[in-house]
Amino acid sequence: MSKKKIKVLIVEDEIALRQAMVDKFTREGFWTFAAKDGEDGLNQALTERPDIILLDIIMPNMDGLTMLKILRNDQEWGKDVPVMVLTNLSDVDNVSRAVENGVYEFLVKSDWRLDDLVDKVKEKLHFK
Amino acid sequence: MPPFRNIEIKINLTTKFVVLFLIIALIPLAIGIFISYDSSKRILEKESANYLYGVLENRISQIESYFLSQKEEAKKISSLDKTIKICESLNEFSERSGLSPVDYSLVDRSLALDLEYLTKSSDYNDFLFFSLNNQILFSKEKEYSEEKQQRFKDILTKAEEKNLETQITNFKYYPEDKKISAFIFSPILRENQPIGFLLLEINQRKFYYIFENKVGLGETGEVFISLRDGNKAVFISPLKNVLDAPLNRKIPFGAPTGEAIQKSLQGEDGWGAVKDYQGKKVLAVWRYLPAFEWGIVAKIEIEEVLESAIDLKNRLLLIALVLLIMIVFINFLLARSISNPIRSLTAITEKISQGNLTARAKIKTGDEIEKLGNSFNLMTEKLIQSQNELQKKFNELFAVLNSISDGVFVLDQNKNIKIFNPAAEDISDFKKEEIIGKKCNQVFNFVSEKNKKEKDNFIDLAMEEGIIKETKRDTILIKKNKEILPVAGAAAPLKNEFQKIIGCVIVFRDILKEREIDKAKTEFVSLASHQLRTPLSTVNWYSEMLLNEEVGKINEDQKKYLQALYGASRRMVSLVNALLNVSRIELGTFSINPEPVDFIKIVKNVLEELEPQIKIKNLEINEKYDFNLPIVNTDQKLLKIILQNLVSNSVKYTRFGGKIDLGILKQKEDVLIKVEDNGYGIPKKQQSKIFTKFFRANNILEKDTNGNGLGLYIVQTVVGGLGGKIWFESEENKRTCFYVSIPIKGMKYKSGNKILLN
Repeated sequence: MSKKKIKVLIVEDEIALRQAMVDKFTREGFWTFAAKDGEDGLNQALTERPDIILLDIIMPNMDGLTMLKILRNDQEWGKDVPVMVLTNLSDVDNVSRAVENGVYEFLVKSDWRLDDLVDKVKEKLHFK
Repeated sequence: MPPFRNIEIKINLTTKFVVLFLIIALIPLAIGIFISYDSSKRILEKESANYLYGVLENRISQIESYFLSQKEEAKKISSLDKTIKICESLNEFSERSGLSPVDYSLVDRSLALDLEYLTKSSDYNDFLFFSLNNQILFSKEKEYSEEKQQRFKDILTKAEEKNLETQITNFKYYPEDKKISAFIFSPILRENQPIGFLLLEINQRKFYYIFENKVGLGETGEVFISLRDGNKAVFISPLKNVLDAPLNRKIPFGAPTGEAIQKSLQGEDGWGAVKDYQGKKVLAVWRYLPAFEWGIVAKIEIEEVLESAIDLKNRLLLIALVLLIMIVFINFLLARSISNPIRSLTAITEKISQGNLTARAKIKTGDEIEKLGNSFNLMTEKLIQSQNELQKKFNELFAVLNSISDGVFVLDQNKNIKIFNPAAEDISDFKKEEIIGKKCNQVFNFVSEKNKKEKDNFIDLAMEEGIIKETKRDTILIKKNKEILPVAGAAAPLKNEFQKIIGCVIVFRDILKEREIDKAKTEFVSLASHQLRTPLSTVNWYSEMLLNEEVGKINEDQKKYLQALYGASRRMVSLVNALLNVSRIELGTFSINPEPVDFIKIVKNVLEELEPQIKIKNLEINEKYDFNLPIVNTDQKLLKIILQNLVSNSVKYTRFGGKIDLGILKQKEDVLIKVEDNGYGIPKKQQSKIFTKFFRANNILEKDTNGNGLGLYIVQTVVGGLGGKIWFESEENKRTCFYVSIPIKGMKYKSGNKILLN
């Protein structure tokens, strides 16, 4: 295990869900950042440069996919950061738009346990 | 192509008939004329030849009797008393004086008178008395040349050898005299003792009379005789056209003329059409008379012989000419009577073919042509009738096309627009007049809404594949004014009786409103599910963390309650998912993505996911897969939904320690999926309802509260979407077996903006 903590940015407008994820990932030993919407998320992402971003889609101010698009335009860092979309929408449109912008996982929140999410993040970052 | 290849000689019907009839009439006519002329000619020739023979025979017998009478006369003269007396006196004188006969007459007057009487009373060229020793006792002439004297001597010597009978020599040609002569020798007997000889030179004039007699020889006929002089034939009788013919006219042997003469002198008898001495064509009969060494010929000019035949020929030709004119005239009338109605019929057909259907053939010939005309009229009537019917049907069709609210247009084989209805005008803004005859793809742009460059080529596909093709889900039409309009439509190929594609009918409609409603529905469902899922996720996640004892120990009761909470929330999530699927199914918005699918892999995957439940219930799973299963092009996700639902149903509705048999079998055209359990089964009464939405059978309601009654409804729809079939067998409390068949030939891609959730 690396000594340096892994930075996880959670972008979620629903307080209860955001809190659940922050608590879970913190307990699992991640350095957790939380943002309440896309704008906030984009700012934190560009300043903190997390190792992975968990991104909701439907949010006030700026939705997840808009944020992702802007992020991917950042040639220095944003274009390559792994992004996992966590949403409760399951339209093909949203999935395909997300995939177009380099999302490596598209998950429906209600179908997944938090443990599974943690596993997926760890798996992605070769943390195990 | 050679430039003259298509040139034909065009002859009208009348001419054809006339020429044909003429040929038919002319041949027997010509043959008839020829035969009658030829046979009459032959008969005439033969008859004339026979007749000429008769004449010839007659002349020959005349010649013979002439010679005989000459002989008799000479005999008579020689036996006259007076002749005997003269001879005695002449003998006496000769013995006594050796004087010449002239002198005798001077001496004895009475002897001279007797001699004069004798010579004058008979018509001989010369009259000679000879003594027994061949001395001339008396002659009409005073002197004779040496040759002539020798000739007399020869005649006498020859005659004396022949028992002193009266004899006659042939006419012979004597060049020194330049004439023909014949002599009669007769002995003068007294008491049967010869006392002298009489030699008479015949006057040929008398002989010629025989030949000058032209009775029965017509205008050109004649008979003549000739004899051989070296290599020439010499005429010895006078000729009709050549007065000095005897002795002067000669024909060398081998000459082309006078054939009959030459042949007769060569000893032949015969007849034929030959050239005479003048080179004229004659019919001749000839014979050789060996007793005289003469050739005798009777001939008549062929023209005269054939006069009646030629006359007949001329008459026949005249009749033929008249007949010919009559035939031509009758032919012409006949041909006209046939060709005129045909011509008028042709004129009528031309009129009708030019569109004048009121034209009628008026033919009153009473024969087949009238019948033809009548049936042609009938045909025209029928044509009008069927044209009217067609027009009526066409009008009906047009009324339908004009009043229909869907846009309709029809293309021909080359995709040119042929028909364009008013609804199509309204929808597209194009006017009928401006696009009829234009290429379809130059006018209509059916494209994808997302990517305006991507064409929806359903029309091309329909015409290529020969089957009805529908527009894609997101097809829009770019209107004349460049506005876009969502449309739905279908293209149906038109085929002729040989299944050849000859066009295409396209029906399309404006689906803007439908699209908007659909969009609203979709948005509502999507939003509603999102709104429902968010609180459910919250419950799920917090329950999960509490149950994991991440934030402190919990007692058994707390755990039980939390598990109930968590379970209910999870069920709620699956219910939302199922509802979402149902709404997608009902909106028809789920997509199908065919890809090569390995059935066994999917079954294994499903079993793996259901492993915890299977383990809890301690179920026996029997798997039976055909080893030669094909890889089928179908939708992996949808297939998984089917298997997931069926297997999880079996797991749910089978008692502890029960048995589940899974089979994937290859059939002729399908892959058969079989899911069998020995569970609760489906009550017979409710079997017909189990694919109904939200339906749950009575017998499992109290045993399992987890179900939502949507699984089999979704499965049935999805199976249908994959082109397969689903059916089942079940007996309550004994067994249930579900069968799903998926076609091996696979299926087509179907776009949709939703995927179904597991």
